[in-house]
Amino acid sequence: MKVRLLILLLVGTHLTQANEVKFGKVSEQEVAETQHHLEPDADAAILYKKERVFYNYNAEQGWSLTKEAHYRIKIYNKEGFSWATLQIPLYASQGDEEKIANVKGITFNMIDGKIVEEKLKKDGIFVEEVNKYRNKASITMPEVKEGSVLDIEFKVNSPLYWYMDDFRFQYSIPVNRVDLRLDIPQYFVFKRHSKGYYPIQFQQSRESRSINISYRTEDVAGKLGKTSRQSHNLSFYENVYEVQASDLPSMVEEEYTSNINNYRSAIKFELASTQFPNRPYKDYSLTWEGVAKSIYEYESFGTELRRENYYKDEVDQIIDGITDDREKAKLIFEFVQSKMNWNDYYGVTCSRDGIKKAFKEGAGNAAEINLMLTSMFRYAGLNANPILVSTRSNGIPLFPTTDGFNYVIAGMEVLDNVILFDATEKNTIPGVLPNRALNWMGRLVRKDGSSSQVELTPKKLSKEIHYVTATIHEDGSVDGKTRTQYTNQLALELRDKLEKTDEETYLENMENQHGEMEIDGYELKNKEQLEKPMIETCDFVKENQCEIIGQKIYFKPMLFLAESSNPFKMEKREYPVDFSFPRQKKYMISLTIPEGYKVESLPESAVVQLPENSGKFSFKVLSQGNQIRVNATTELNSAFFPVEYYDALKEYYKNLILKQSEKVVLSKV
Amino acid sequence: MRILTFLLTFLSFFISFSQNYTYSDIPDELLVNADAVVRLDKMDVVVEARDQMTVTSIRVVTVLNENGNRFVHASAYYDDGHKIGSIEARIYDRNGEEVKKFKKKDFFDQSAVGGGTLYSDSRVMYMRYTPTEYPYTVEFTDSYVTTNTAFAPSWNFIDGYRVSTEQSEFNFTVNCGIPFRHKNLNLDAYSITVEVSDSELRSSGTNLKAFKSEPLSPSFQSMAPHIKLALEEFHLEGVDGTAKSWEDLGKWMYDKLLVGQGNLDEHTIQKVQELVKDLEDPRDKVSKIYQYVQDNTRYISVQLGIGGWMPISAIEVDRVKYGDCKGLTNYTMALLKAVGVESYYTVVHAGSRKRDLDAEFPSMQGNHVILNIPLDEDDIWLECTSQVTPVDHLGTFTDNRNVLRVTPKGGELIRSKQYLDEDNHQGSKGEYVVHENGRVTGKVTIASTGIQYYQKFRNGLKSEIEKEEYYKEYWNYVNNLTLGKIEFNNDKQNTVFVEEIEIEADNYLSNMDGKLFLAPNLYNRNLIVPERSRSRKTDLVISRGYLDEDEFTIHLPEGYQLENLMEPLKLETTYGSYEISLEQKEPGILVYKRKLLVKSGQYTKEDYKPYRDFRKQVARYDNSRIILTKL
Repeated sequence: MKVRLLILLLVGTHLTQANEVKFGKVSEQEVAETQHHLEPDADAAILYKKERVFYNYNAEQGWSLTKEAHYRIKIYNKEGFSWATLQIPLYASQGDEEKIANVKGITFNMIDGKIVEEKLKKDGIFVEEVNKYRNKASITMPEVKEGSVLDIEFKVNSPLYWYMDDFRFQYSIPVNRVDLRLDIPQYFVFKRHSKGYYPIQFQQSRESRSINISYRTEDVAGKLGKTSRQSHNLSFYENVYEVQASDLPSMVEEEYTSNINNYRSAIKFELASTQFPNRPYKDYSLTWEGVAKSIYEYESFGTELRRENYYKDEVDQIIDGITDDREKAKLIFEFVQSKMNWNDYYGVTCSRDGIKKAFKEGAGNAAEINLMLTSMFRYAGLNANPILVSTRSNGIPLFPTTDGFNYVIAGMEVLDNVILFDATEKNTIPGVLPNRALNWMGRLVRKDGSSSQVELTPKKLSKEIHYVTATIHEDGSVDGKTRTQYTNQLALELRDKLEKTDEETYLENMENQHGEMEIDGYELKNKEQLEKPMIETCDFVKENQCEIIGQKIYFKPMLFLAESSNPFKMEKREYPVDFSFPRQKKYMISLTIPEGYKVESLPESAVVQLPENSGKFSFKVLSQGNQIRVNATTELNSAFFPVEYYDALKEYYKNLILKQSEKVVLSKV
Repeated sequence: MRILTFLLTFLSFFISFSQNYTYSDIPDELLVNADAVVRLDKMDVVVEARDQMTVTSIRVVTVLNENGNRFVHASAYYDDGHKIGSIEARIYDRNGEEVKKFKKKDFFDQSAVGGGTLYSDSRVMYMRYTPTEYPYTVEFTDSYVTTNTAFAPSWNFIDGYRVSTEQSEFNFTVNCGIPFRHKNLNLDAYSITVEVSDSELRSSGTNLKAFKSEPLSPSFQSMAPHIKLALEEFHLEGVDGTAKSWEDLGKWMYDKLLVGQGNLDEHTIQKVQELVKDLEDPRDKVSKIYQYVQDNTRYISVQLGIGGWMPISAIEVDRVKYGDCKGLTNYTMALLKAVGVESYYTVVHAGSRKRDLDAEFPSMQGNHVILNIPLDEDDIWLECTSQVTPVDHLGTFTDNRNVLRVTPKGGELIRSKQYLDEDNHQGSKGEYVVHENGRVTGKVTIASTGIQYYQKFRNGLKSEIEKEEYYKEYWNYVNNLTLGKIEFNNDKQNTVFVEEIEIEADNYLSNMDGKLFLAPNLYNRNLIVPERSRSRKTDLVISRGYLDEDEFTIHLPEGYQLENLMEPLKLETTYGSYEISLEQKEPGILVYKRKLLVKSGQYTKEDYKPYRDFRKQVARYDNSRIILTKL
């Protein structure tokens, strides 16, 4: 019996040892390897990544966090050399900052069949004060060549015990193995979220821990001013979370992907509540409701939202005598939009300077501007609420966390509908938001702290309507007039573009975009009347629009407006396609053919549809006498296409382009 | 005395009070093509000693629109040897009323480690301000003291494209008797005055109109009015230097920055000697050593103090196996020395826009270092920061410009490797089969040399997805393109990069009334037409020329013939030539030949339109189609 137990024990330890990756102990096979076993293309790979997180307690400073990390990185080729430098962001917040310590590194190379080590020295470690919010540590390894294996170990000590950065499992290079363990005292309850294509499995267990705490006490009466040192033992249990994952493929960005980090696997730990001994339970966030409520309770949100004094007089004047709610909303919106200037900072809360100062200075972050707007709406008796948003760059808020939101807009409830407002930009109108805010769902928070989801992607189609009247000439040139109308998001895009470039440059760009076109008599209508569609008109001349072969003239009936290049060229796609908003393009073109010619053939009419009515292209060409009429529409009713639709989308564009490339043939009478 | 001080204070107070920054006072001519107007740009530089220079400036900018914010420049860099004295900014509205003031503590402090650098001690203080209306005006005053006099400020009367200057004043005073030199550039066309004595330069300019950027134009630097300045004796991060001539400056660099940095330990010397022991030809030795450096080092930039100008020692690089351009160049030089090949550390102003070190004006210039190896017949050039570039290949980053070769005897200004138009060659040889349903299948072999090599050789390092993206972009005029096998051969010896690619494309031909329309140039269309440049003001510059030669064999579908043969075409212009022809080799097989030569050079502004017309024609003929009819 004794013998058997011993054997079992031996086997047991042996197994764990085989599995354990120790700093400084690399295998010959790891150093000798010349290609990744699953992704032969990879420039480098993370062979192993270990992170351990635990808490410390100290009577003077209270709780703090330590993160220990170990990376083992394999460099396959010279393109992978950038992975020999690790950059670690270190956060700082009002005097408290994360600090890096115990940095160790070894580079392993295979030289003449032997593993040779080179240690990292101090001259390869740099800590930089980026600014008052952030520091950065950089570690760069010595003796790196093709084939090197790098072992890097470090610790980050942090007084910011409530904050943990995301734990990432996927990178632009493959990851062979990840090993994460967090030991969290019972007093802290963290909400855990995993995201990405590869679901991450947790193992959860409980372990007990006790720590010795020594502290000074004053005598009970506090009169004698005496202090004494005391110590006691604090016993508690810890929640242990462990993640082991292996063979996580690399992930790289593709076009029309809103944010690659939506798809990379990672885990986020967010503090949900605390329950310290002899202290009341404190809830931070757990559900979207909870998140919204806790944000609402921030002074920099709720309290700022309730301030009215600073704008009363001005708003009173603006709405004086106005009874219609929509009209009131419009006037207040225009007031804030013209008075306030966005300082390019996002934010779900007001800055330390506060909303009043922002108003006074005429500049502020997104929260200041749009909370101010909401507050004024409410003051004017409108049913308005702030809406929490995650911008496109912040990713899709898949799970409830307070930093899942980073932006605020305003919403006014009218019957069953919510009209969305964002006054950070000069060219937006009610119902039209800047592109950055068009990300999935927002969360509308009411006065009592209750909240509900609001769809941010507009339902209304943004339109671009082209009217063209043109004459085809015998030499292959075309001249005529165009009138183009833009609505909603497309009008916003154009207004923004025109604001950033002067008209001449804009026209030059337009001419170049259409090849050898020359534009004259350009006119713009409704540039300032934001509620109306933008209208561009101009005269154009374009040489060589038609091909002349033999006695015949060939041209695309949509002329230079025909699409000629498929936006989806790649054979495969990994991520969904995101167009931001649904859109429609319409073309109404009438052409006069040169004298002495007749229409020999016209492209046939066609309709191409995307599945589930998510998009449609129709095309019709008719002729009568010396006139040709073209009617075409392309429509994307949906802004978001899951990856399964990629082939359908690609095929749709292929057919659309083929159809638009078909030519009208004119021949001599 | 006290009274005088009082008076002076009062006077200066009075002067600053009377500043008037009203928008409406700006002369109309300064608003043309401008996003901002520099109302006043004034700098006083006083050199108190070889290692002490005080700089005081005031800069007032009226920003007309959002794009003009980039000209405010309300920021100040600093480090250990460069200390900010005062710094302050005031914001004025369009009527010149002050609306906000920034004191020193209101500036945002941030490290100024630039892209590509891992660490440096440089920091910056800058103003964070969100404009609440346009136009608005910023008055920025600052002063600093620095020990580094190697870079005496040069003076630009105009800051860039789309900004004009109302008043510009620059005063340079030397109080310690050190001689200085100056050079006026492009001042003639402007109302700018310069007065110079032995110890002082005073200059001022008024009402200088904004430049508009034009495509294919000379560099801004070569057209804009500015003054270059240099002290003949200077100080740099603890080291004294002299610069009377390029020879002197080079001598100083060698003696103070390089000597002693080239030592290596015995073990390494033996190792590299072992590497080349069977080689006789110095060229082969250079190749071997360069290969060794490329295989064993990488680029990491750390700039601290004098380390911004002095390479880290070869011993250090040998230990850690990384360094910046100075460190890696110096290391390669040391290794070459160990095997008996003499080479020289060479300073260059790198960038795809060629920029010379000024032969007539020796001073600290350049931003990069390469290695020059003089051999009997020809020089060899090495770019030591690259792990993949072949021996003696410079590419657009450092080609064909004045560079400073640093030798023990002193500096020499020489020309870096030059690529003639025909050297930048791309030969495409291909074949394809046309199918009756409009589909084509084929294979092309593309061989590139010179600058075209430089633009392509990294393709070999691309991942499968990047290759797919690259070729779909390269042939973006072919819809429904599918790529087959892609193979590369990077012949580093002869600097030739060969790509072999199989392609297929559905619906490449269009069908009308039973006729097939075929564009014979499947593999190499050059459709880039320079933008229209209305009322052109600047010369046309084609900075690098090239020659493309193509030959494609086309197999027609069974039973089809050419309706009419394309006439051979030849265009001959000052800027290049273009030739195409299509011949029927045997029934059903056509041979398409094409040759495009673009000649580098600086041409007049009148040449812009004809050059554009030439490129328009090239684009048009590259797209042209022929008709196939069924027999």
